[in-house]
Amino acid sequence: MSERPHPGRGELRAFLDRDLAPRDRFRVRIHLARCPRCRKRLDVIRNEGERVSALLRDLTPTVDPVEAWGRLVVRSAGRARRRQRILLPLASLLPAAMTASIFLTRQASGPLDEMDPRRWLREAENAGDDEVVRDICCADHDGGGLFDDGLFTLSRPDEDVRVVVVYEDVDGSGTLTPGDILRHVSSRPKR
Amino acid sequence: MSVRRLFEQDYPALVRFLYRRLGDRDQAEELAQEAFVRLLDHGPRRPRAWLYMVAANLARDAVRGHLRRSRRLRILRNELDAASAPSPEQDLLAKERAQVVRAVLDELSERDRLLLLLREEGLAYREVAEILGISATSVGPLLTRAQRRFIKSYQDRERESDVGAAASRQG
Repeated sequence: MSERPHPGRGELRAFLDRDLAPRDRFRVRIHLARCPRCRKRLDVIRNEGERVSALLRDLTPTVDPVEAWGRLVVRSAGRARRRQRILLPLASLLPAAMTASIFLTRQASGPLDEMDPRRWLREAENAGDDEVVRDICCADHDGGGLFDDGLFTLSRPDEDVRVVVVYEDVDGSGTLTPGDILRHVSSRPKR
Repeated sequence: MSVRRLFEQDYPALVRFLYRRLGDRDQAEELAQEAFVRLLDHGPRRPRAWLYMVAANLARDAVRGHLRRSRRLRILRNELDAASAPSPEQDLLAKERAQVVRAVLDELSERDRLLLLLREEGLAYREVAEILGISATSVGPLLTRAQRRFIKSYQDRERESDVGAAASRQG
């Protein structure tokens, strides 16, 4: 049976640093017990490491961790305040930005087919109180595992629901928009 | 581990790591604080390795950005220290040795320098590997090579200064 090769310098370094896997550590230990040459190599590597540590010790600043922790707390709080000052105004603009985005999406959609319920939605919005719009989004109506199905209904005050539309909220806007896919349209509303 | 505990455990080591890299105690503390503030913001999964990685990057940027200026300041500060507080011979020798060590560190490649300094702070091989973007098994071989280069470079400088001193005595 052939002998295992001598461990490399890196492996001996890792052995000294106790950073070898237990199995490898055991193997190196057994080898060292039988190999005087590797024991010498190990000593050289150990001495080199100790020399480096001794030289680097000359570059050791004095640090007061308690005082430093206090500074960190102040600094961290200051940064949180600054972030708040920037984010709060932006957060207050968010609802307006979302409304504008939805409005622009609808406006940018171009002319819609007369049979398209999204056109009815637009007309209903323009009609004011004359039309009652219910847009419930989103649930998993199609059983696909995603809660992206919306239910849109249109009616007049004190009347039965005249239109039922099931749609897939493709753009994730939470409402029926021109980009959404229509899965079911019950009928055309009579005006 | 709580941030407070990590701070108590690793802040002095992090400052030392940065000081050895930068040679400026105030800047080392400043960057160590910055690294901890970022740690509080990000809450990484392995905070210790992350902390040293951020600190190493901050130090690298600082060295790149202010190399010339910080060297000037360092020389100036050393001159001021020497002028304002005359030290006993041992202190003076230690200071001279520290200057040589710093110069030798500056000569090393970034990878060698980080290997030495990170290992010196007791980071595990896998943490060092994560920070340097190398495999954990190559840390040992690379570390021994870095240690050899460091010692050889230090010895060369010592020899140079001995030769210089002998020449000035003869002159």
